[in-house]
Amino acid sequence: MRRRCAAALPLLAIALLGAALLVVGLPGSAPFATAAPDPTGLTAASTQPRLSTSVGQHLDYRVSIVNDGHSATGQLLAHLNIASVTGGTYVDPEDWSAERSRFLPALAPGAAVALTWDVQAVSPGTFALYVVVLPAGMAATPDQRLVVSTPTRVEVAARRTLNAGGALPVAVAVPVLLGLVALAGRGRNRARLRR
Amino acid sequence: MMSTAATADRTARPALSRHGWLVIAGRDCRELWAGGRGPVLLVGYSVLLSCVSYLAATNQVLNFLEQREAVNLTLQVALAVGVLVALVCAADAISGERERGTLEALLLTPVSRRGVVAGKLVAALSLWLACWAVSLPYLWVLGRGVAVVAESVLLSLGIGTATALGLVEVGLLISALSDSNRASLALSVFVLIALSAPTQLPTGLANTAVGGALIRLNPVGSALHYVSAVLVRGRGASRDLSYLAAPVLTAVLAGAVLLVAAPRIVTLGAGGRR
Repeated sequence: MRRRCAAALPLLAIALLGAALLVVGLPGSAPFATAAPDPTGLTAASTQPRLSTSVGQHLDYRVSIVNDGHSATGQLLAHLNIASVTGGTYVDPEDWSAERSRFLPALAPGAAVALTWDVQAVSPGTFALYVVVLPAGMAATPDQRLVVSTPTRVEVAARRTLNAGGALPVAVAVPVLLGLVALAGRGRNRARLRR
Repeated sequence: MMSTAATADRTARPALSRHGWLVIAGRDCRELWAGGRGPVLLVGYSVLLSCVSYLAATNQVLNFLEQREAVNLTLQVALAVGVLVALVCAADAISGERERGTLEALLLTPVSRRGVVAGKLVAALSLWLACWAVSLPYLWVLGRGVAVVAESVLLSLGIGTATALGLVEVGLLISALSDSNRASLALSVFVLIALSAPTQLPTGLANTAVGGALIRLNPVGSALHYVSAVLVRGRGASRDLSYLAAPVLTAVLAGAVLLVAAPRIVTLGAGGRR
């Protein structure tokens, strides 16, 4: 029994090694792997692999789309997406960027276009920002592949902006003081009229 | 004796005519501030700013706002309402005097019509400057944590004054041309609301060519846009300077029209009717 187990060990090791190689080799299984080039030669990549910010802050997310192919593309649509990579955080991309879709003109071979999105960090957590490029409008065909940019990891720190203690005295004192000044002025006017 | 008095009168008249705007400004400012209308408007203005700033500083729903946005929100309300208050004051300046029957006495003084308009302009602008001064504690309490106090104070003073100047001039034109004080006030408030409307456009629409043009051509919208760009997005003061063209041009053009047309439109009847 023990000998049979010993004979099975190399097989188990090979199986484990094969499985590990298979997992590592699968496209996209590694976190933040570079995007595979599209057969048409269109690539999208961000120059910012990592961004850090805090809740409420705005950041510029830049992506470059290049046509490395030999033929011109049709009109393109670049669409920004955001996902929470740690889970448990509700993400509504509309809250993060008001204008996520950008229509691009056809790109000639070798042409590139740089796009910048204004993104506001709405929730704390770790997120991935990425752009999907697809044919725009009627140019889309069912067999056409989407081009996805390299994702940018965004770390958003929580931030508390409540400041009730500081605001309350000012919010109360200013109208009260101005009210007293107005009342004093009115009283002085009445006294002058009586005289 | 008689000739001495006549000579004194002759020398006094051109002097009053030259500095008449100061006399009118002083009289209108006294009426506005000592008469109690100005202080009451300021109390209302401060109550509004208190509500907005306290809400921005404490409300849980607004808590995701970056503190710069809280300053920006308060500054935008301060600017828009401050300009509205000054515009209403300007809208009442000539048509109000006409309706109260005091314009005739004013026109009989040796002060030129341009002097009358300039004096009333200064009085209305004093209301804007007082509103700006009232907004300072709110900007300080919200902005001190993120070091935008000086920036927001300078922005509100410079851009607010340019916007207020242009709209006060427009208000004076409306007031001089209106048949009644009520019509002048209604039209002035409508103008301000119409100018503020494009600021409520969704971002997607505001980024289109038409939306962008609507904001750039609009003195209130472009001023508020510039303030947001500098305060919230942290852009340099010179980057979006083109947005200041509308408020500056409004002030220059409305001022020029007022200067040229004042002798003809500041009359007992509306729009130049005698």
